[in-house]
Formats: sequence, C-alpha cells, structure tokens
Amino acid sequence: MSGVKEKKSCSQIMDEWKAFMWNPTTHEFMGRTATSWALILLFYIVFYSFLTGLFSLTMWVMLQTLDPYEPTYQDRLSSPGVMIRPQSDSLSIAFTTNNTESWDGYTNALDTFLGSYNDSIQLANNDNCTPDQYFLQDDNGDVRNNPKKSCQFNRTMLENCSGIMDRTYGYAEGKPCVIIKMNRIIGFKPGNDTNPAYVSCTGMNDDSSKVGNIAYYPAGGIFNKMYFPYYGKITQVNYSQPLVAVKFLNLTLNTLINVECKVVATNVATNDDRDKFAGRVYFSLQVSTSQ
Amino acid sequence: MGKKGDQYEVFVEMGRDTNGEMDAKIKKKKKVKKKEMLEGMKKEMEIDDHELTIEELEMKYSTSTTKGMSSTLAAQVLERDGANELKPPKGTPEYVKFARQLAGGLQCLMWVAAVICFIAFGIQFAQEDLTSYDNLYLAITLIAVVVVTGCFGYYQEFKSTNIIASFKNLVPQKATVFRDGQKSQINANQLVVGDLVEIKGGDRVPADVRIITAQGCKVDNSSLTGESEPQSKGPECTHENPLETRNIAFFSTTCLEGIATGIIINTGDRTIIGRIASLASGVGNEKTPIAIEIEHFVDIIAGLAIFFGATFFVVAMVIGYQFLKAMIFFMAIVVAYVPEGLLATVTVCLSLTAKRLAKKNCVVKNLEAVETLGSTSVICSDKTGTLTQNRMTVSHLWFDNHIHSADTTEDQSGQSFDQSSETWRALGRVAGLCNRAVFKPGQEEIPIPKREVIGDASETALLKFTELTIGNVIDYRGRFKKICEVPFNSTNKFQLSIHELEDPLDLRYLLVMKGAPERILERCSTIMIKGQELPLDEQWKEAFQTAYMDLGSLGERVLGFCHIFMNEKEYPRGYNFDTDEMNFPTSGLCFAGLISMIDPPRATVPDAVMKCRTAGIRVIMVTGDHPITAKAIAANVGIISEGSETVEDIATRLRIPVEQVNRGDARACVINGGQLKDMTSDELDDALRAHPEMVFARTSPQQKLIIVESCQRLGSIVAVTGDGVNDSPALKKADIGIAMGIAGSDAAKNAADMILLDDNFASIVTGVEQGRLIFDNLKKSIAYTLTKNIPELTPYLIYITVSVPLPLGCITILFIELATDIFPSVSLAYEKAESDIMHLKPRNPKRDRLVNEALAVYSYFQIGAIQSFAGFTDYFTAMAQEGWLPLLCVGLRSQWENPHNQEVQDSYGQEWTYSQRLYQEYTCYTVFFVSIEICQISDVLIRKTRRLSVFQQGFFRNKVLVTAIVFQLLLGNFLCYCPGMPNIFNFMPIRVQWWFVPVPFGILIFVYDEIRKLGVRRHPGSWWDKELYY
Repeated sequence: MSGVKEKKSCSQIMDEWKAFMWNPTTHEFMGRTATSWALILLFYIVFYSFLTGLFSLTMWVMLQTLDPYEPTYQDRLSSPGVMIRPQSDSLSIAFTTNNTESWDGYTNALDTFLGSYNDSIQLANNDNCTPDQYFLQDDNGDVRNNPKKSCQFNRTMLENCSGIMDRTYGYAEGKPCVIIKMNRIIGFKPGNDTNPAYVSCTGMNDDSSKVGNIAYYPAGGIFNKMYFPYYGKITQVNYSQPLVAVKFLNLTLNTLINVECKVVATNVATNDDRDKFAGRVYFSLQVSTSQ
Repeated sequence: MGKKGDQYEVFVEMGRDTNGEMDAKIKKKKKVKKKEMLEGMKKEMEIDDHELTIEELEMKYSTSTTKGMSSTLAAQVLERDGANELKPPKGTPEYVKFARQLAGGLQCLMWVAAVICFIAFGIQFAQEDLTSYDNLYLAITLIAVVVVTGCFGYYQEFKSTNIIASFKNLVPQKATVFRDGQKSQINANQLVVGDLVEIKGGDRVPADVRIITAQGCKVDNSSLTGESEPQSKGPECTHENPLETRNIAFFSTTCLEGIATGIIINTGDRTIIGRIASLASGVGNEKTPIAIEIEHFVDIIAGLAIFFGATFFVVAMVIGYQFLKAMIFFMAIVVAYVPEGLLATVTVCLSLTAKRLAKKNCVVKNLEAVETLGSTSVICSDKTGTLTQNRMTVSHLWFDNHIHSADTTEDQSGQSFDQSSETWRALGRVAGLCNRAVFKPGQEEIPIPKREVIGDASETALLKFTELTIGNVIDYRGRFKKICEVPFNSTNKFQLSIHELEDPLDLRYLLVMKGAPERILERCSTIMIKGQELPLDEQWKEAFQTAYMDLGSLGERVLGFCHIFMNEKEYPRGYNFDTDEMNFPTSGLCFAGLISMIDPPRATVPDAVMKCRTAGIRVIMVTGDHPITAKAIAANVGIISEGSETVEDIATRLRIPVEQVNRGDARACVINGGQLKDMTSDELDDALRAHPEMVFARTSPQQKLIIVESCQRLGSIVAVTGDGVNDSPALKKADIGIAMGIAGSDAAKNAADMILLDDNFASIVTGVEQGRLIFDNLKKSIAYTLTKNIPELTPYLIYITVSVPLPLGCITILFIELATDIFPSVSLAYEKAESDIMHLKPRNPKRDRLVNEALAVYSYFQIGAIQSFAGFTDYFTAMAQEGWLPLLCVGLRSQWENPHNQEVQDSYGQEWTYSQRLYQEYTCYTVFFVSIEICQISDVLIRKTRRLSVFQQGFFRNKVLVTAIVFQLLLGNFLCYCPGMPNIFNFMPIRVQWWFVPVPFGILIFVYDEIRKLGVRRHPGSWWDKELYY
C-alpha cells in the first residue's frame, strides 16, 4: 500500500490557517459565516438553557424531599469520631514546664474552646436536665417539638481542668489537661440504658507504664446520657457538646509518650483500621523540664 | 518479446522511485542500503552463464555435466552460500514492534500521567504527608493500562503476521540431483551453485538453472514475467539478455512438460526471483486510510487533552493551588479526557470483521485493510482464476450447421444441447479418441469438472467434456484400440490417431484428427450433416467460416474435428502404419464439426460485478490474455455492460475509420499492452477518465503498476488482485493489494493486504460490503466512546473552579473506559446496516472522515453535556441526602480534603472525620459512575442508528448489544456491591434509589436523539441535517 503524501510548506499551512480564521471571499470566520454562527449559538443557548432548567428543576424537586431538621441518611456516620483539645495537625503536645511560652498556646486554645462553657452562659441558655437518662424530645406526630432544649454542661464540671482553679490547666507543673471531645451525630445515643459511654486513656505499646496516673473529669470520664441525643443545629441551637477532661498526674518527663484515648461504649466502634479517629484518638505528650 | 526488456527497466525505475520516497522520509542509512541493492540488481543482470559453453561452465563451477558435483564440494559451497531458499523479508525486530505499541500518542500521555502520579506519591511520601496510596495505585493502574493495551495490540499484529507464515508450504520441496555420478532426491534447499539437476513436467524449478539438455521442456514463467503462454526451454543460447534466452530456467517457475537437465547458477536470494521479491518488500508500505484517520484523530485528542490540562494547570496555579496539586489536576484531566478504551475498541471491531471475512474466504493480513476495502472505488482485477474458473471448458459446438452451447457452469447445473444427432456421435467419438489426456488415478469420488488431469488445457477440456457427455472415456478408448498416433506439433498443427473399431466384425480402421479449424477443413472433402456425408462445397465452406468467425469473436479457442473410415482392403488388419511416412490418408477426410473452448466466468461473478456497479465501484480488468478473449469475458461478466461499445465497435458499426470516432461516445475501451507501452501517463489518465469501462489486455504485471498509479492519480482508492511474483509491486502500491490464495505465489501473498482463499472475485465484493459496514459501525462505536469523556472531564473542571468535593475519581474513570464500556462499544460492530450500503457511492476519503466535526460536537457538547448534568444531579442528590446540601458543597474542598480535620460540620451540624468524608467521596464517585453507566445505556441504544429511528432498526435484533447492556449492568452492580471494593477500587455500595436519579436524563438522551433523527430524515439538506447528522 502506498500513496503520495503531500508535504505542505510552512507558508501554505499559515495561509490555510489564516483562511480558516477569516475567509474574506466567503466571509467566514473559523469556517462559519455570521448567520451560521448566530444560528448555532442560538441553538446552543436554547439547548443549554433547557438543560440548566431541567437540572434546576430536578435539584429543586430533590431539595423538596429533604427534611430540614435531619439528614435523609447517615450511612457514613454510624459511629462518632473523637478529637482532642488543644489540637494541632500532628496531635502532639510538647512543652517545657518552666518555659511559659512553650505552653501558653495550649492554655489559650483551651480558654477559647471552653469560653462557651462558662457557667454563666450555660445558665442563661440551657436547661438543667435530669442526669443519667437520655433527654428525649421527640416530635409528636406532625407537630414539631421546636426549638429543642439543650442541657447545661458547666465548665466547673471539669474541676481541675476547668481552668478556673488552675489557670494553667496543669501545664506549668507538668500535669497537663487534655480535653476529649466526641463528634456530634444526630440521633446518636452512646452507651446503653445501664452504662453510659466513658473515656479511657492508656499509653500505647511500651508507653503504658510511662503514662502514670490519670484523672478524669467529670468523674469516671463519663459522657452523661442527658446530653444525648443531638437533634441538629436548627432545632437545638445552643447544644453544648459534653466533654471529658483527662489530667496526666505523673507522666514520665523528658520522653515522648504516645497516648490512646478511647470512648468505651457498646455502640461506639473503636477498631476501624481505616479511620484512626473512629471512637478513639491518638496523641503524643512530651513534658520536659529544663535543667 | 520487447515486453521483457522494459520489464526490468520498470524494476530499476521502481527502485529509483523508492529512493525518491525514502529521501523524504527515511534516514540516509537506508537510502544507501537501497542503492547497494540496486547495484546488486544491475550486477545480477550481467549474468553471462547462458553464453558460456558447457566446458566453460564446468570449469567455472567445478562440476561435471554428466556426473554432477562431488558431495564434499557441494557441502563446502552450501556452507559458503547458505541454503537455497528465499529469506523472508526482514521484519522489524519484535521488541521494536512491542515498544512501538507502548509509545503511541495516547500511550505517551498516559506515561506522563503515570510519572506525575509517581512524583506526587514520592513527594508526599518524602514529606511524611501520606494520607492514602491513591497516587501510587493510579500510577500503577495507568502503567498497567498502557502495557495491557500494548500487549493486546502487539498480539493482534503478531497474529496477523502469522497468518502469512501459515501459508508457507510446510512440505519441503524435493529436487533430483546428480552428485558423485549418483542420481538422488534431496531437499531443494540443500542445492548449491554448480549442482546438476533434472527437471521434469510438474516440477518447480528449484533454482536458476542453465539448461544443458532438454526434451520438449516447457516452463510456465507466469509467476515471474506474467506471460501466460508456456516458454519452451532448450540448451541453445538465443539472446544475450539472460531473461530472454531459452537456456535459463528461473527459480520458482513451473516446468509444465518435458524433461531437462541443467546446472544451477544461482540459489536462494541471489536468484532473479529472490532479487525481485526482496526489492518488492522494500517498497514502502504506506498507511491505510483508516490508520491515517485514527492517528489523525488520536493526535487531535491528545492535543486537546494537553491543551485542557495545561489550561487548568495554569488556572489552578493562578487560583493559588500548590504546584504539585496543579500537576495532579493536569494528570487527572488527561486521564479523563483521553479515551483509553478507544484503540482497543477499534482493534476489536476490526478484528471481528476480519474474522467474519475469513469465514467468507477473505483473509485480512492487516486489520485496517478491512476498512480500506470499504472505501475502495476501483478494483483492478485479474481475469484468469479470479473472474473466471481457471479451467478450459467446452462452451460451444458447431455441427449440423448449427452452433450448440455446452454447459459451462462449475456445478454442471446448466442446460446441455441436443445429443441425438448422428453427427454429434461422430464428433464426440473424434473428441474422445483423438485425445491423449487422462485423469489422474484415484479420483472416482470427485465430480468430473474438479478432477485433475494430465494433459494440456484444451485436451483436458475435451476429456472432461466427453467424460460428461459420452461417459467413461478411458473405457471408451479401450474399446477403440489405438494403433498409432501423431501428436500435435506446430508445423502441421493437427493431431491424429488411428483406431480399430468397437465392432470386432468391422475390420476397417478409423482415423480421427483434430487441429486448427482451417487446417482441418483443408484436409476434408466431405462434411457430415445429420449423419449424412455431404460433399464439402463452397456453401458449406462459407457456413464453416461464419461459424468459425462467430466462435472466434466470443474469444474462444476453436478446434476442428474430422475422421475417416479406412477401407479394409487397402489397409487390412496388421497394416504397418508409419507416422513419419504418413502412409495413410491425411486428406479427403470427413469434417465432423467444431468445438470451442473458453475459460468460463465464475457463476457468481456477474452478480458481483453488478453489485460493484451499484456500489459505485469501477471494475477494471487487467489481463495478460488476448484482447478478444478479454473483451468477451468482460462483456460476459458485465465489466463491459450491455450496449456499451468500444471505439472500434463504433467504427465498424458506422463503417468509418477509427480516427473519426468521437472518443466520448465509447463507454468501453480495450487497451492492449502494446498500446499502453506507447501511452504517456497523461494519456492513460485521460483514457481512464473518458471510458468508464476499461479492459487492459496483453499487459505485463509491470504495466499493472502503471495502471494502479494512474487510478490513484485520479483520486481513487484502488484494490488490485494479483498472483505472480511480479504483481507484488502493484499489490504494494495499491491501497489494498489482494493476493490469490490458491494461485498466488508467496511473494504476492507477502505483498498483499488481503488474501482470497477461493480466488473468487465475488469474495472481494463481500469484503467491500463488510468494509463499508465496519466504517459505519466504527463511527457509531467511536461516537459512543467519545461521549463519556465529557461527563468524565466536567467533574474536574467543577472541582477545580467551584471547589466542590471531587465527584469522580481517576480510577473510576479508568473502570468506565476499560471495563464497563468496552463491551457495549464493541457490540456496535455487530449492528446491521441501516440502509443498503451497497447502493451508495464509495466514501470520499478526503471528505467523509471517520470522525468528523459533527460527530465530535454532537457527542461532546450535546449528549456528553446531558450526561454531565445527569452525573451532577445524582452527585448532589447523594451529597444532600447524606447531609451536605449543594450550597455548602461549593467552596468546601479545602476543608473536605484536609486529612487533619476530623470535625467538618455538615448542613445539619453533624461532625465528620476525614475517613468518613473520604468514604462519602467514594460514594460520590460511585454515584457519578452509575449515572454515566445509565446514560451510556441510553447512548448505546441511540448509537445503533445514525439516521433511522431505533424503532425501525429494532431494539433486540442485535443480540450482542443486548448482552452487552446486561453485562454492563451486572459489572456495575458487581463493582458497587462486591465486598472489599471501597478500599481497593473506591467503589461504595450505594443506595438503590441513586441508580434511578439519572434515568430521566437517559430518557432525555433517547428522546432527543429520536427527535434529531426524525429531523434528519424529514428534512434532508436542512440546517438541522447539516449540523446534527454525523
């Protein structure tokens, strides 16, 4: 098989290209006359207007089917994630006890975070609920029980880690407080009727002995059942997430210690290989003393 | 004989041509090689062995013309020269072929993408910033895709190369050789220069041989020179040109009859044929139209992909993304935009058609040839064997002053003539007795027309004819005991034999004679009419002349038959007949009749030619045969249609000189080789333009090349058939070369793109039909494949510009391209033609492109756009139902993709960890994937037709397509719901209702396309038709 391949010179290609861009004899711009361009543009304007209209319509219909108060599905939220405060990307807390500058970032962060938990604010916005039972505020059929009340979580409940008695949260004396926070999930009730969910921290691998004694606030590291379930940000505007503060009382100093804090409850998964923050959180502590 | 002179001029010229072409394209190195080869070729022509005396020859090759060589010397020479066989043309090394498969335009892009992935992974790894192995996976997947498609392409190529290898005769050829004075049979490839060999009728000449002795040796040179007449060979040097002298027989030609001995002067690739074959293989193999189309298209796609990628790279950099991130965007856009599955689809579609063609006796050597066949606008066909049955057959008889037709059909299904006349009995008796041909033994089971016969073509025809009409001829001959015979020779131009009669009581002898009709008539004094012997007067002679002329003008070979019963008194039993003295009557005989023979056209050919005509394909006959025969057959099969006249016909009809005829009036034209030689190429072009019906007669295969070139100059896509070695340049030059599977030589098969296993012209037409169908269907497949690139691309564009969480991942895209959509796109190759494609003109390769603007625009900006909207609708639905309302999604990207943020709030105030968000993203991928799948089902349905309504075409008629849709759905479900998929391939088990969100868009696609087709059908030529018909 063979054929003569025509070689075009550079100027020929340029000429052809120019003729394509603007052909003065036929008045064609890029192969089309003005009318032709107008028609095809009109066609596409109509076509895309129609498509956009259809898209908007289907989106509108879809949005109508949504409940504004709770999501249709919670396929990915079967179990809550856990996070700590003070928080950094690497989740490591490292400071020198007598170097104020090395830890005041942490204490400031805790101050800010706990600002909304001040007793005065809680008293003003939230109710005092019956402890140790789920605070159910279900709708009565079609009648919405809105807005829903929230329970008080007072900063003072964190006692030594509240930052009120000890404004340095123990950082100055090498006994740092870390606050454990569980992600909000609508309708989720951790624990069961008899046992509430609680936090348990251990050192990882060899570090278990180095962690030393740990104090939990509120007592037992419990997330009280009265704070659950969560009803969503529209109905439960002032919802205060319950917290657990963990105070490390006698850490081995000058070493890096890896700590794992777990939420212990029957319906909180803590063994997901893929999600390192499912029901647990890993962080590292390094408390140094300067010589 | 001047013909042969220019024949190798043509070769030399061809060599130069090749050089010219090479100049432009190929490196200098090759050019030098080519020149060396040409020099070698010239040297080869300086053979002087034919001019040497036998003694000089013996000296030169240290051999003996009586004893042959010594075995030891032969072994040495064999070691020096190598085996006596043609080396297969040097192919590209296998690893280069494989590497070429890995380095196409798209493949290069994918390599770049893979490298970017690796770099991204490496940087993330180095920064200990590793959140997932996605980039590594993607890089590996991309490389796997390139390698797998490469292997696939390589395998296809490998397979098609092997087809030709399978044609090589596996049975080693034997040759009779004298060594150390001993005659023995050895494998022909062991022969060396100087060997004394014996050649007898039926043998293939084992090397170039200088003839020493010969008895009636005739050689068929047609595979070398294309001459159809056998050439007689003898020991005497008759010409200084080695190609023309009688005392050299060439390698690979066939000895038809006689016996000869000779000394081998050249072996293997140094033989004339070896030179030609290797030269032909050097003619550049140009790309087929479809290869050009596809490459052109791939270039555009790759260009656009890079353009899009680069644009968004710049946009991303300007918006403020990191360099690495921007590079990943670039890579992702390339992956999304490049139709990875396209090349595989095209290859599979073409090989499916190739398989289908193979069943119909067309073996396609390179896949693209299938489509080239479809765009063929001129077929230059051989006559013998292709248009005709390649066997002489008795077609007419003249006796009782009447022309009778015999049955010439291949299966003897036609009408026979009235056999009751006494004259017929006499004529049949002469035909049966005066005939030396015999059937080869052991063929009782085979139908008579197919049996093999020992004897020349006319005798074979007569033998078969008498066997069919009279019955067992051998038995019949036994009853008429043959006393003596005079074989045919060129001086007396007759053949006679004398027999005893069947009836033992009748002691007369019967002399039967056949030969050239005018010579036979000279010897007759009476003529048999209705069993009566009448005196042969002027009136009968005139009747004879008329009949002879009539039969001759049909292009038939005519023989006359006569007989005489010899008086038992003059020639009593035991009379000593002397064939040299001719002591018996050879004149005053009784004329029995004429029998004419022709190589009849194949039964299927007239229909096939007709089909070509309706399909706008011009059939040109190119034959080495006599112009009258050629014209007769051409008229018979419809190449010259009824009522068409040549210039000469018009001249005879109007009784004016040929020069005065208006050339434009003549539709048909017969040009013979002599005329062609004197024509300039412009004159030939003019002739081809002026006369739609052309027959070239008495042409050499080299002239075939000239005809092909002329057709190509006129812009035609030319298919050429050929069988001889000398056809191979024409086969290469043609857009599609077709070699004959039965009659074809290896060189022709090597040069051809397609091989007809049954040598039948009608198979070419089937091929054309299939070629046209596959062009249409490829268009559909490509349109289908291209469409989904837009819904694959838009997610990235939206992701980069609006910063929504990524709706569709790269790995998912590769699954669409290479898994779910492959089968449906291939299934379109099984689609039936929409209309009678054989009633359309051949496509104009310059205008009717495979992928035209309308196809791309319609697929991309209309159907692709609808699919994108479907995907986004489903995406936003899945996001919203899981808690992420559309407006929140906008601008969410940086938070969403931050692996350190475990507390991103959704629209309802819930907090999500990174991993939960990632699985939600995978859900989006899956949902988008499902949307594309659903829309693609609709897409494959609309692609079934381009003009007709799908309801007219039938939904379920293409069973493969239905299966493909089911398969696609099953595979989609498997990917979604198979456990483990989320972490391996990022597919999530999605909620069932999300499968149905894109359904309205699917319906929209279907309805919109039906409206489009309706408009196209109702208003041909309208704006709608022009803009929306692809």
